[in-house]
Amino acid sequence: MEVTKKIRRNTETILKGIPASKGYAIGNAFIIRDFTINPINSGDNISTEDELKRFLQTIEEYENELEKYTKNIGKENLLAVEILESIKLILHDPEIIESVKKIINEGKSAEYAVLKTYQKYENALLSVQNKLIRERALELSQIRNKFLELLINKKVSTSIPKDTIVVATTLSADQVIAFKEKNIAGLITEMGGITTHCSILARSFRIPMVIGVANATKMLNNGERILIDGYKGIIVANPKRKTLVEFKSKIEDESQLLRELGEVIYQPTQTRDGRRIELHANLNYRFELDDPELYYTDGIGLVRTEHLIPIYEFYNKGLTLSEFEQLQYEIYHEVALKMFPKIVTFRAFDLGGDKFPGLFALNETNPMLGFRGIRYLLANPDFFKAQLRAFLKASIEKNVQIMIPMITTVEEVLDSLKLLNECKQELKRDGFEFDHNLKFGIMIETPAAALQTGVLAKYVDFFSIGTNDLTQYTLVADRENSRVSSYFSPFHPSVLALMKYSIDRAKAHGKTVGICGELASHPAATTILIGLGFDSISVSTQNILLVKKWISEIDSNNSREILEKALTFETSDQVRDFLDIG
Amino acid sequence: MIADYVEVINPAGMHTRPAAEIVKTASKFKSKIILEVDGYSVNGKSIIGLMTLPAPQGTKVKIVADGDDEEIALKALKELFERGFDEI
Repeated sequence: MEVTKKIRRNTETILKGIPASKGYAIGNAFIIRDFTINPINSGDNISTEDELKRFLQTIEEYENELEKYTKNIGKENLLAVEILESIKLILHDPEIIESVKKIINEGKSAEYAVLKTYQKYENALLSVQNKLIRERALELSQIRNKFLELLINKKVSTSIPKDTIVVATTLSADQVIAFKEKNIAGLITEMGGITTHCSILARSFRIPMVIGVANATKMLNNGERILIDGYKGIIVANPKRKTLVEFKSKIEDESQLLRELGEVIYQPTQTRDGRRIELHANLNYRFELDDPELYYTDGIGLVRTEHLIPIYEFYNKGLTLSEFEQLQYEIYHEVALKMFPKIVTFRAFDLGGDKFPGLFALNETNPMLGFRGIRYLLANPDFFKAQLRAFLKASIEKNVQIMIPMITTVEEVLDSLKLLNECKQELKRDGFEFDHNLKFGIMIETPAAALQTGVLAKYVDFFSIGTNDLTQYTLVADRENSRVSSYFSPFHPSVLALMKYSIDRAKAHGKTVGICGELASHPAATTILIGLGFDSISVSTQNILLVKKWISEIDSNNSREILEKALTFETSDQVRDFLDIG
Repeated sequence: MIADYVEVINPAGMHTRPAAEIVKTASKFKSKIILEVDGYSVNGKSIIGLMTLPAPQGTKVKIVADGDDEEIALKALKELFERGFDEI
């Protein structure tokens, strides 16, 4: 029975999916319906010999088509060439060929043998824990469909009009390539993963694509006007005039931005001389997950969980700790899935200090030098462990790492690691899956931690320098306090020297160091950060594209010279003058 | 029949691209090639078999070669693993 209703013509309808390839597109729907095959069992008019011949001919035909695409694409799109290459290996896979031949020899049709064989391996892939491997199963089913299509000699319509938006259940890699050659405007599929071949190809061809739109082929009508927002994963069918006007202005803004930034934003973030810098975003709130800039990053370098998680609700609604753990897990997992396969770094709650004074009402005379960050967490181990367990559970796709705020002593790191290990044991005992190699890092935001980097490096996987706190604790100046805010300067020679010392110690121990804070939001400051040797830079989403562009214009050798020069000055004003920062 | 152990050293583990490299190398030889992890074994010339083999970084993999050219086949595959599939 058909339960899915078609949407009403001429009624604006919004459908949600998963963004797979960024960009906006306007066009007309072109629905590709799935064909069904009727497998023929052994019968009077089937010749085993003919079926075998048909099977082998189809492999050849499929391969010829792939050759043609490889030639048209050209070697410079290495990604696409490798994908086509891997399809060829699957076509010639000895296990698959043997299995198909065996079924044909039992008197079945080639279609039936291909279907059964591929499904067997699709199921084998689906039973693997690793999400990346499970996504390969979908690719295999796309290759299978394409194979069957050739076998049955039923080709995708070759006359595709301009401004077409293709709507399909799934698409194979070569279908995406074929559509690209027809200059289609966008792609929508019901199934798919963001790391499957078709998504990767759509991104490499810069064709906007939304995947995971349930029942899209049934709900949309051929020829209908469709808008695709490949940033948010939203499609609009039959847009109203007002929606269309707004959408067109978004396209205009986008193309202006892309024109200004040029090709660089499509490349991995690197300096002019090719030194790769990981560019990460800071994340405070869930709605920021919709920011299109996230697509141009290497992941999230800092999730401020004290903002992301509604902690007020926990205290005011009287949730139990295990309910609070579950609530956290769901939100962390949502972030991890949204960013997959990019890495997300969650920072444990940084409570106390100037944050949530009403909630804690500790009435400390000097909260910034008081009970905050890791100190609060270690004093409330059950509360801390609920968060650590939520992190671990969210790490199932292996793209999560965690870090601890406000470290001043080695004991704090050892105590945190002890609690983390307890959590791992508990989850193992209770049968939860998690990433056993989850990376553990700490924030360097106090002079104490900076000066002990070499010791701390023995216990942690990575460091992240928080410039705001490091500056305020080094210079004893609250930047919110107008009487002393002029003292607050991340370019003070002592702050630069501390960062340099910390990074050098970390590197000597083979650990990576990132920076999170808005220090990078000026070109000259970015030069200093590159000169210091940071491996990754994390900034708020609105600065991502600019910082990416600045990094691409920096020469890393030159930046080291600029840093050396900056380190010779005696005052922050001299450093600022030298860097030409007002 | 000869066998030896290797370790997956590239950070991304044995995903699709390294699997393709293994198939291409293994297919150059006449010998039968088997890869084994924790008692689970697959045909080294089958990309689909290799894709089902869970082998993240640090995994110990047993390579078995059986045939006239088993010596050079095993050597070539070992070298491929030791190079981290040219990903490091």
